[in-house]
Amino acid sequence: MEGSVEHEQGIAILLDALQLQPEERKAYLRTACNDDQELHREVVEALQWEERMGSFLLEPLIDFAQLARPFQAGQMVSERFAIIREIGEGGMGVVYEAYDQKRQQRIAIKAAKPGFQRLLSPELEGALKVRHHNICLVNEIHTAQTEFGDLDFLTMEFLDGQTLAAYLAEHGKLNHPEALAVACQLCAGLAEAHHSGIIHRDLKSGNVILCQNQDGSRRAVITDFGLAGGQSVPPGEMGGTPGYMAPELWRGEQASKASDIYALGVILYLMVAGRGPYEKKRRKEEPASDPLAPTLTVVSDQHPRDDEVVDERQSTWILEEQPDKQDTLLPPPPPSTWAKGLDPRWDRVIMRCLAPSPTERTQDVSEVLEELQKKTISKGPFVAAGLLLLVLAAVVGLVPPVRNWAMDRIWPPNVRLAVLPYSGPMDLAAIGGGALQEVAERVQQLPSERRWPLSKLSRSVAVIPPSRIAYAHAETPQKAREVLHATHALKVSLQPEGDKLSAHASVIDLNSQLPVKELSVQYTQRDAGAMSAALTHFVALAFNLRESSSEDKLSPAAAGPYLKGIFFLNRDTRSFNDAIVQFQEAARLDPSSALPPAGMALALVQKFNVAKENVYLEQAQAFTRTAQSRNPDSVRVLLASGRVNEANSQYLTALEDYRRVQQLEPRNVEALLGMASAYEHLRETEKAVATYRKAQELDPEYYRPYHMLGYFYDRHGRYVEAVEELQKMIARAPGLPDSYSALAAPLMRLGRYGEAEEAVQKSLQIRETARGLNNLGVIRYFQGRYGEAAAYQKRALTYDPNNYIWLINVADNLRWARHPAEALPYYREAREQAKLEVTLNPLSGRARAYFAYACVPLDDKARAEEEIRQAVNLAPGDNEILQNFLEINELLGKRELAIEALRQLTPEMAKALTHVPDLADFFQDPRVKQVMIEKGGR
Amino acid sequence: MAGEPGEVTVLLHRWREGDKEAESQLFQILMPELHKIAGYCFRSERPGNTIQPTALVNEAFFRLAAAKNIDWQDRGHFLAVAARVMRRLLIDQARSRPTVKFTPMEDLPERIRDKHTPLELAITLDILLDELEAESRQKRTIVDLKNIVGLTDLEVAKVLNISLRTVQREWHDARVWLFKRMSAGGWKAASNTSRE
Repeated sequence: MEGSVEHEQGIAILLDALQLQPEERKAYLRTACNDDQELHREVVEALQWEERMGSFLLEPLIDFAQLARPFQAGQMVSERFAIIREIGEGGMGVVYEAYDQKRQQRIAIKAAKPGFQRLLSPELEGALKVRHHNICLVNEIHTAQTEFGDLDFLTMEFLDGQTLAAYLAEHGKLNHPEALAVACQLCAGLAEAHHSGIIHRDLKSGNVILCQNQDGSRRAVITDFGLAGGQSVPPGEMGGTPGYMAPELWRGEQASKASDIYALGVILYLMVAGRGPYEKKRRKEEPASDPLAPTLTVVSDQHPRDDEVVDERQSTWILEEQPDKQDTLLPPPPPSTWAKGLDPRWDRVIMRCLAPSPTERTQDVSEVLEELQKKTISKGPFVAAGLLLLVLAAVVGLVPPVRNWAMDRIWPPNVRLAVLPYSGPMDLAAIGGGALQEVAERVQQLPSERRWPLSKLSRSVAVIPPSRIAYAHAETPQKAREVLHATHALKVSLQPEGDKLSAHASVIDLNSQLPVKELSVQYTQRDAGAMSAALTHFVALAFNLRESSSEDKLSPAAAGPYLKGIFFLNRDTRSFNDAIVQFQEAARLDPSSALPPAGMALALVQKFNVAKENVYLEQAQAFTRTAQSRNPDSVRVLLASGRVNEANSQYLTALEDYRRVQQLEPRNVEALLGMASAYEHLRETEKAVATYRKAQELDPEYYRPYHMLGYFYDRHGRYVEAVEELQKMIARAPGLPDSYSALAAPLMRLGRYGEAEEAVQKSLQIRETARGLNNLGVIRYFQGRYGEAAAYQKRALTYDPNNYIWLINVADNLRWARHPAEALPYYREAREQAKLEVTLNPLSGRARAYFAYACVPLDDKARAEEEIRQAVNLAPGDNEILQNFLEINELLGKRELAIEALRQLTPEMAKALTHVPDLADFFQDPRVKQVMIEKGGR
Repeated sequence: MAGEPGEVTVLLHRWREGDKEAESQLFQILMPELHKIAGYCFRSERPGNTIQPTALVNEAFFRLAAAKNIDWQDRGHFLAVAARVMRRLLIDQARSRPTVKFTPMEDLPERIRDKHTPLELAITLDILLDELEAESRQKRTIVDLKNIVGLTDLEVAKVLNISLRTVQREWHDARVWLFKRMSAGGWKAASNTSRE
């Protein structure tokens, strides 16, 4: 075919040529092909085609991102509105130009983005009623059915013009007559709304459209009334826009007319001064959206540049605030600071709108309007009302403030983190000092978790870098607190250990002088560079800061084996050895990524759960630490850490890990399942169930939450519920052998043996698993076919020779099948295994109970009594343990105790025990019969 | 003693041998799964989160691998089918929003670009891919894996178990083949038949 490449080398040459500049390609081809005419011809032609094709097929023709838009250009919505094109986008919605077929007019449609499905709020209903020249007319609210659920959208007046924000981005500021015209219109519109009882809540220059009237004059229109706030704003999204938010909003109070007025003040300020009240410099590169809207990288210090006009008297405001008055907001420099010769009414009006305290602000928009329209000028420029400015001479001018000055005013940080300078072995000073400085810079740039309304859990962090601390001679935590009013300190110590570097970091709460979070990691020479990134993540973790990207990196070469490893991890709980091989390979191919060690940790935990040898758990911990040394705040690493902590019985720490994952990825089901498991271990049954339910809600088609909840119910004796959940699991994962065999257990407890056997047979058909075989054995036992039971269970044991429960089952069945001699070695092995578990896990009542049970046929009666007593104490009410207790005491001739235990068992459990050959006599006892009657059994 | 291979594995093997019936059965199984995962991505609470098709198919694979007992070896074929399912999914969804006016696209030469919507182009491509498959199944699969799933050349090579150079050659050749047909008259016939 013409243009195709037949030669092997041809393609390599072609691809190399494409890397070069177009002019260089021809020459390259000539050299690369040497003298091979045919090759040359082929490659030249192929290159021509490549150049003609451009990026053809390098992107999909229809992409997901487009489909995620609520509406598409060309679409007909509700059989009435023809979408023409997208004209704008906000945080929660997208605005389109459209044509209303019914009314034969051009309109604008605002539709909620997926995830923000519902727009409605009481404010909006109100906005519908307000009609004013300067308020965007909202026609109707509609709901459309889409494949992603119901979608609210509004139809509005179509405003042909640009936003005030865009205009200001282009022109800088407005001249006096223009500004006055726009300002008066805004006031008029806002006043009308306020008088009708409507609050805007999200007033900003992006919500003001400047349209042209026929006579060339401008009409300013306020849009988006009542669309912000009110209903559930997703976590991480602002309810309003930072640069326009009044101080009381930051403190968690509700929006009000006063906060609208504050925002109005900011808009006016922008119009006449050409910059925001707390902004350093407008960024020209930013798109024509609100300069005050983006995330918090807005401002640093407030020194006006030398060439800008500065009123001498005003220079005193460029200072640190009073450390002990952190809650007071300082008013901004008046707009005239930036605009020489500005009409004094602006200063007056604007500063009163921007008063930090809502009660000191102008109370009514109409006052603003009046003031603006006044002809006379009052005396003297505006004077800041009452707040003292403190000059911290020690700090000003010596060290450039690193802190985000303006943000500290708008939102006083509730954390001041002192990054203590490096102190340690001198030969590590370069690494240590450099890393700490870098950490300070990076942390300052992290966006913090902002919740609306402001909750106690969210933090903003102001960082005091090591250099500043050194200057202030405040190198210890106590001094940092006294001198710099730090609330927390980050202390990092480095220690060489052989050819490795040990780093220990802690975040210390300076109130209590206690560490709130610690990290101990080790680096080799080669990967010491990862330290500052890891420390940054560590701080983000300690303060719940939302990272801009917590994506883990993995080289493409390592991705293959890594994914394969994940595959093995997910498939079942027994493919861990295969997973380990893959993760090792991935680690080899990418030695700096946190992902392969995190994967290893998970695989090793699986191995530990099966093999029960401590060494695997230790290895898992080591790998977790490695992963943490690269990125302690990564979802994968946190999940691994959570699992390892669970395996180590550190359930509270595990919960912390899972909670953090939830913050980073609210839809992460694995984290929820982990949390539920931890809750169960902490005996918080209600919370465990609720968490499982939440996982089901989040992802209704995923089988695992039903699986886990089913097992949970089974463990807690709630068999009917267990069956229900497991059936749901089967519906979703019919190919999973575990689903069917899991169902068998509760069915058997409920006495539904026929169904149980069916389920088990099905599972064995799909794949023979240990659990399946064991369950079939148990069914045979119930049917009194002890020999067969033993045979099945022996086969189960080949998969898991250390499982003491199965060992006991085999032993019991052999005994009842009249082969007691054969049974003994099994009892012995069972006892060993149970004993091992008891040593590893001293709090496990179950292990002790089985240990005790195994002791009886081996004539170790005293031990049996002791252990079973302890087991019952450890987990009172646990039916499985009580069952053992009952059997043991009966075998030891202590029937009274056995009867006592019987009383505490559930009816189903009690009934199941009637099958135990050892208890035949027991159940003939009239006292026992009485208890059974009381239980409703027979 | 291994159990019987799962339903999906059987279907994948049959599809590998060229069984068309197996393909439609696989579609029936995979379509809702991918649709659901895609929906899940759309409702992501991380604003600005771009949905990566690669992540989507990997996610689908892990879930189904466990639930339906699919082996790692069959991942390559799984991805190839999944890519087709996704292509169909995208077309169906785009189709459910009928076009009234076009939106221009960068990739193709002027005379096509100004005449057809992305949807029409995608449908045309779909038809042409079936034709390409008749000539070379491997080429078609490579196009699917690269264009829809977004795998790199190296990943495709691994997944299909062929050499990197082969992938690169065939990808180039396939693109040229398709490009010729799309920029000639080939698409006209396609667009006529696809008009509903």
